[in-house]
Amino acid sequence: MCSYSESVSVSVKKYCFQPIRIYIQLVKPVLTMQTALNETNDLPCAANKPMQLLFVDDDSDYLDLISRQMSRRYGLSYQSDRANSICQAVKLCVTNTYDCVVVDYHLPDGYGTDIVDRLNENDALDSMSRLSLPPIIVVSGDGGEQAATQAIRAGAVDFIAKRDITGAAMQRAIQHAVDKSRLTVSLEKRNEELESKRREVLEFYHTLSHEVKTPLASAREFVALVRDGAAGDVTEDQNELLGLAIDSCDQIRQHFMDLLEITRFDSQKFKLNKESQPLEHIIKRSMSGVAELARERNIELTTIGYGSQLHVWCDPQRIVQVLSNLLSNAIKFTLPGGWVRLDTQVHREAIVFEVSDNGCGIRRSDQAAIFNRLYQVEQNDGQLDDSGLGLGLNITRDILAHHGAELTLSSEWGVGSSFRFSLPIYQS
Amino acid sequence: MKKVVLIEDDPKLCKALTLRLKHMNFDVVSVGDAVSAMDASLKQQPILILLDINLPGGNGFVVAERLRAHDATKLIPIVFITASSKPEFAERASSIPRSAFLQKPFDANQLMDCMDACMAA
Repeated sequence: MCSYSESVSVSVKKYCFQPIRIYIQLVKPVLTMQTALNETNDLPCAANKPMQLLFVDDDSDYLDLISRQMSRRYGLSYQSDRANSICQAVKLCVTNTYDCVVVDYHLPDGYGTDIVDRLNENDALDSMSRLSLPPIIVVSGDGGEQAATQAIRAGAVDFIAKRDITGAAMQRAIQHAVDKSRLTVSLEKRNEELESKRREVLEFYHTLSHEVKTPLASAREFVALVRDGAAGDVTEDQNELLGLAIDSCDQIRQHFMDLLEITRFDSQKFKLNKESQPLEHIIKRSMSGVAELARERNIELTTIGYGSQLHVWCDPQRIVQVLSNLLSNAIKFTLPGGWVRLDTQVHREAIVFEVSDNGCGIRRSDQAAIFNRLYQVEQNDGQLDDSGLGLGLNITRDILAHHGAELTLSSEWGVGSSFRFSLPIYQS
Repeated sequence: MKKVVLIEDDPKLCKALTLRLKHMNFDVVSVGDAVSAMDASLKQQPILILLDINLPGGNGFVVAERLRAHDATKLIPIVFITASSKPEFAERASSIPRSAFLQKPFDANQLMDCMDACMAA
């Protein structure tokens, strides 16, 4: 016969512990399953390696806390190292590759953001490694806007006050920092590639131009020598044909010059040499450059000017280039017997230049596109004007844009065209 | 006849320019590299030197600096000729005293105008 205490003991075991044991035996598999499910979500698949993180803090208790909070998976798969000083962190960064560094702002040997400078100065890192330094997230017990501002100014991508840190917040901040850093590195690499390509293209054009222009100079000069009688008398017909050969050489030269201009604009190597220039000189040089062409095509070429005392603030060589291009285009697209005019007027503190003609005009459908590169309009007979590369107006517009001037067009098909721009008057 | 030293390594262009200068009534001595350039200039004492920038054995600017550093050649006008469009070439040429800059291809009038301006300076 059992005692009372033995009876109580048996009852407790039967009616208290037993249910508890049963409960545990039922729930345990569920918990295990849940844990397994959670861990499955975090298992790295072949394409997603776990992130490599570095936590830097001289307070090892805090590092333990972070570790416990981070152990709850919020979708971030990672492996981490620890350091308790900048020096130790730098050593780890040199020998390992981290996706992100979480660092306390105040460390025994400096500010947490000093890691970036120390890594940049480190001889053990090559230039490519410096390009892809891990993003820094600063954590600080100070909290506050001032600490945050200081950290961001010093190069951190994010700042979290320690009091606000939860596992979810930390993992979210790390993910954002890594994504942003990867995008930035990718963009910088792409920019470098594009810049390198641009330099290559410019160098190619320079080389090509150089290799073509010397034999072109020889060819042109030999033809010119024969035309000028250096190898004996030439007939009128021979003179004409030799002149056409020289014109072709000059055309080739102009095409290369245009191509090089475009590459200079694209590579931002285009420079202006601005000075005060008498308006009269600019007009005279521009008109004399196209006078022969106008004569050959029987075009009346005139100029109407405000006065010869005015000076213009510009790069004179480039503005003469602009006016010559506009005038020669006007002559090219005007029928024999027509006229081309260069007007200059004062409007407020600027001189307005206008090149107009009574030529074929420009169709409305072409008017926006004619400033595009390589665009060629149809001539009167429906043929494309293929005497140029289609770069002239584009270059003209770019030169004026560098002067801060806009080139405007008004034109009517079958009536004529007018191109206009203005430049500041130089006031001494 | 007035003498010109032509320093140009491309044989065809050298021949073309020699013919042109003779047609303009100049006596021409031509060489094709940077090393011979100095010797020819010292020996011939020309009224003007036509100097290509890209030369075997050195570039035209180095030759020009040596010419300017020597008493016998420091006052001889130099016309740089080049097929290159690099703006730094024109800038460097402008830093050499008593010089001018001409880009290939050029015509006879441009050559004459440039030579006259350089000799008058």
